[in-house]
Amino acid sequence: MHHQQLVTETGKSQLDVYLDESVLDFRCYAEMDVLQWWKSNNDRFPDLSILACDLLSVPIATVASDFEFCMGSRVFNKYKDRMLPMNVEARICTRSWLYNFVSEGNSVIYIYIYICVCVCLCDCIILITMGKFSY
Amino acid sequence: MSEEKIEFDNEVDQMDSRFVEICASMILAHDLPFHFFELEGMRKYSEFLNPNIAIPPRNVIEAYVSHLYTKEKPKLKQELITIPNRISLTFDLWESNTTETYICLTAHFVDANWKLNSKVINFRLVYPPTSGEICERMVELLNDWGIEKKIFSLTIDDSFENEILQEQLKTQLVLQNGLLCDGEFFRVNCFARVLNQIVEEALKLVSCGVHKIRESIMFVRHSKSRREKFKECVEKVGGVDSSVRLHLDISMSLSSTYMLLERALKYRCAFESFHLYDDSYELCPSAEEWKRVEKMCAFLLPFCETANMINSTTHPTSNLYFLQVWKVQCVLVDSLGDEDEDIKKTAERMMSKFEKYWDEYSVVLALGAVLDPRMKFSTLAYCYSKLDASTCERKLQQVKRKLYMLFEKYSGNSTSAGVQRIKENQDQSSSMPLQKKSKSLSHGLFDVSFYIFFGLTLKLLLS
Repeated sequence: MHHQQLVTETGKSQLDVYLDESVLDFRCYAEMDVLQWWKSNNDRFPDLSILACDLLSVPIATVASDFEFCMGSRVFNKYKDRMLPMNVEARICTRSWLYNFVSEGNSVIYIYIYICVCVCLCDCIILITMGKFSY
Repeated sequence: MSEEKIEFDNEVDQMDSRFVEICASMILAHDLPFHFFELEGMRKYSEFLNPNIAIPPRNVIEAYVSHLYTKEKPKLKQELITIPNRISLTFDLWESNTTETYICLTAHFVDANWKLNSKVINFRLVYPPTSGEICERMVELLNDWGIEKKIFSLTIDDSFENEILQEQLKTQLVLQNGLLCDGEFFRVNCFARVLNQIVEEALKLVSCGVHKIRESIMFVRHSKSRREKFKECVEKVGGVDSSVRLHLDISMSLSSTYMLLERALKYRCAFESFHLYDDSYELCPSAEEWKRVEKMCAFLLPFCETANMINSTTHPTSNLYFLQVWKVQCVLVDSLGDEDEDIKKTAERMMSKFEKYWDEYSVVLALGAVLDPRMKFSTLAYCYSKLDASTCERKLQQVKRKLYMLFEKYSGNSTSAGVQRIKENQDQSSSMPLQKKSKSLSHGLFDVSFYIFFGLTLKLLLS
């Protein structure tokens, strides 16, 4: 509360105040979790911290949701048993919610698989086999 | 759903429900097929442990998973509705082996404990898989979750059809008044794809050298006598850190190929000496090939780091991406001035791919960087001026203008929303940043401080 008053008195917005403050030294805060910084400073920047949350959670790649299925292609033929559409969703979502995609100690880069796979909306058949990846 | 519930209740009466739970959680956690416990080997194993065991059939496990899903969904829905901030989405299409197409929608958001979360919220069959139909289904799904007015951005693979979809969805959401600044920040394209195209070009350039290195490793490892001879060569040459072992790559992994090259380079002299010693060893890379591989190795490092970051289990916050992408750009700019004509030409092609992506999306990432209290505009200014001093000021002004424009939409929000996050326990450090967290989202590989405070030494990397 105290801080908020301070902001209005000086006629500066939260953003102005934030930008005017000196930058933290990277060497001292190399491992800092930015979201935790915004958490501790939420009282001083209530609006700006929400904006920060929104901007900081923008993902750069769609891969993150993928590695669950990275078994050579985007086709999830891994489950040999036929699953009804409803069961597929229940299974994949519940796994994501409760187990948070804990990978089995296998965080190899799957970027190759990922990139070479072409996604077309109308026809998203996987054309690429492992062989094509050799260079 | 209700049918399944009844089925589940009936069947579970006859089984030990605790056992079903254990089996189901094992299947989910390790991503096993539903009939895993009915497999011959598994059955024998279970019966050995307990001859009287009643193994839950797959339909019971399936029903239990559905039951879990219906139990968990309202919790997540409540969470998504309650958080004061917006949600970013990623969208994917998947195809089953029966060629049905599925929409996979993942939500990325900061939860009440200020942790970044990524959850698959839908995995739905869509038919026919046209952009119109998909768009309609997505709006339906978002409405179902009650988050149609809380979307911040949508990250999608870069393709023509996807662009149409993104545009359609944007129009729909703007009509519902659900996006900020008329959806100006809605579109984000997948960077992994651009990254991969660039890496592919780079590897094409050294394909011959990489092939020879791979063959060389296989050659010296082939027999005991060759291994011993090679060891002698290593000792004779001296100065090779033999605690770092040679590494053969998995053909689909960038970091693995990087490791192959990096480690083989350390043994370069040993390979060359082995070449003189053994006439049957013909595939030793030429001096020129070694040189090029060395250059490429330095070139690939930032790509490798970025790929690692994208693929890591703890999803990084977007402030970390900016510097990573900037590093990639620096390496590209440097390669444009390389004395090797082939590298120069390849670099030009890579640069055009990169710029097409970066020109459009740099602002969102730059904004993320500004909201990192360690970076703000001073780091941005440093990065921009390193790349091109003449455009630096203009770029900074553009980012600043967008930031103020966006902030305007947020001012006064926190009080009117009436939603409060869990507060810090009146920690006196309300104005003090947290010191090193033991398990933070930042990555050790992210040596930003090195880049910024000890000068940019990319020249070194490439010379």
